[in-house]
Parts: sequence; C-alpha cells; structure tokens
Amino acid sequence: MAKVCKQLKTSLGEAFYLSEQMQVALDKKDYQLAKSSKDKIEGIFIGMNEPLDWAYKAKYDGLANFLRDYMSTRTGQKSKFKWGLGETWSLDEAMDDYCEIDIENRKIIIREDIHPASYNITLPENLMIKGSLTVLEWMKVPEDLIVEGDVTVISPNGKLYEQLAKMHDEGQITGMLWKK
Amino acid sequence: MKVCEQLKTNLGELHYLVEDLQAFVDAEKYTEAIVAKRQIDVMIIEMHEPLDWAVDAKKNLEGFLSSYVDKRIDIELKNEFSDAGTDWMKIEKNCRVDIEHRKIYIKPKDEELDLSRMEVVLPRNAVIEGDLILDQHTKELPDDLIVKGRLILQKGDDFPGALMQRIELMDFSGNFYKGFSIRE
Repeated sequence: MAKVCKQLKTSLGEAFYLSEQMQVALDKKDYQLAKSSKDKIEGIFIGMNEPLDWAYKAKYDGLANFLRDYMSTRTGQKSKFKWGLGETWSLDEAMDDYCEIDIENRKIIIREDIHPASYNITLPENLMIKGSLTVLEWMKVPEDLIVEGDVTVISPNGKLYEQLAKMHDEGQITGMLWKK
Repeated sequence: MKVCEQLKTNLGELHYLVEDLQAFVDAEKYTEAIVAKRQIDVMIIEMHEPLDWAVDAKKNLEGFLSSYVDKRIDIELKNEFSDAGTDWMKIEKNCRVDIEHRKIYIKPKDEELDLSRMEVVLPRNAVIEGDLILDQHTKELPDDLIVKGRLILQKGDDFPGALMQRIELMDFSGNFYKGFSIRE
C-alpha cells in the first residue's frame, strides 16, 4: 500500500463528513447549514489542488521522464543496473515497484541504486534515492537531492564534487562520498 | 419530504466522486484523481445557485411571516396560519420552499390569506395555497405571484391604479387560478 498524503486523506474524510451533513441539512430544509457545508466542501477541494497538482507533475513530469531516459539508456547498454526489470520493462512497473511519490513530504522516492550511463540524464527535483548513486562530473544534481546511501563521483575535478561534499556535510547524503 | 432533485443528484454524484478520488489517490493515479476532483468542482459549482436561492427564499419567507404576525397583532386580527399564536417559526411549518420549482408555498389555515389593512410585501416566487385578500394598503405585488384560489380586492376609492392594471395583467396571464373579484 502506497503511503498516502495525510492532508489529502484528512481533506477527503472531512469532505465525506460535510457532504453527509449537507444531506441531512437539506432533508431538514436547513439551507443555511447546507450552504455553509457546501462552502466548506468547496474550500477543502480548493485546498487539494496544490498537493494533487504537485503529485501529478512529480509523477508524470519528473519521475516518468527520468525513468524513460534512465531505463532506455540502461537497456540499450545492456547494463546490469536495470533493477529487477527485464528488457521489456514498463514504465508503470518501474514506478510501481521501485518508486514512490510522497506527497506529504513532497519527495519522489526511488528505492534502487542509480548509476547514470549518460550525462544527458537529468535527475528530477525533489528526489530521494534509497540506494547508491554514481554521478559523472559534468552532470547536474538538484540541490534538494537526498541520498540514503553512498555517492560516487567519477572524474571528480570540478564543482560537482564540491556541491556533493557540501550536501554530504549537511546530511543530505547519509552514506559515504567517494571519488573514482 | 420533497427535496430538490438536482441537489440530491449532485450530492449523490459528489459522494461517488469523492470515493473515486480516494481510490485514485490511494493508487497514486494522479491523472484520474485530478479529473475526479475537477468533476467534483463542477458538482459544487452547480449547487451554488439552488442553495443560494433556497437561503434567500427562506429568509424572505421568514421576513414575510414575521412582518405578517406583527401587523396582525397591531390590527388585532386572528392569525390565519395556525394556532401557533405569534410564533412565526411554527407558522412557517405551514409553508414550504420548493427549490426544484423555485417557489415559496404559503398555506393559510382556512385557505384564505387576508392581507387587507396591512402593509406587508409578499416575497417573490410566492404561491398562495388558497384565496388572497388585498386592499388599498397593498403597495407592491410580485409579478410572479401565483394564487391557487381567488384574488379578492377590497377596493376603496384610493386603490392604486397602477397596481390594478398589474393585477389585471397577472389575471390575464393566469397567475390567479380562480380569477379575481372586487369586493366593493
């Protein structure tokens, strides 16, 4: 079961309660209460716009685009880092089995090691990797990246290593930071 | 109890869509969740107008009944709605707001509502379930008034001419189911 945003769950529960209250108010012809319930329901759904829009963009823009790039490259190179997915991997399978959208904490979580084979691959914003990460010096890494594992930098001779060292100091990288 | 079909349908649909939305959120199907949420937004928008109308209608009905009770006491006449005395909230039980047809039904106890000697204004969308008696104290009459019985005018010399014309026009339009008569 996916971890579902508490705010959304609370809002949905509240909407259920208020729609029932509204139904009772209508039956009793208490239109003022019905209207006030309806206004509250409307407010609740307005409040749901932001988390749902965020989740949509995170999943279909951020995560899906990354996975398409990453998995196609890995498959093309017959790399061993294809997680548990076969040659005919599917995006839904990759997202469902190895990733998670944590709306509560606004994080895209990938529960696998990531070893980019191409510097054209861009890591999405709000990414948390529960595994190790290998990066090439010329890659761009989002500043809010969290890695619960080791990070290895290949050809570390520029700013990226400095950025990662700072992130490591600040606790965004919980494992070791390696140069290769 | 008759409740507006549109509101009931929208509420039923709302329940259904909220359940859908919950399932989509659980399954992390955010495209479907956003579509369900947009449908919910439409349901809610559709409920604005009937509910706003109902709130206003009820307020207008209460205003009319409250004013009616006060005026009847002033001129020491019997209450034509019930034995509820001056409690207009109890009187209100003889009346109903029909959101479906956007009508306020006013039902006098003996099927006769006498507004003569009183300067009270009937609310818009009113339907009198019986006869209605007016005299020269009547200054205004809503165009959409329906009288299911007969409209009786206790006509004095100073009955407003413009109002008389309007009553004739309304009678021509069939607003008074049993026509109107003048009691000299």
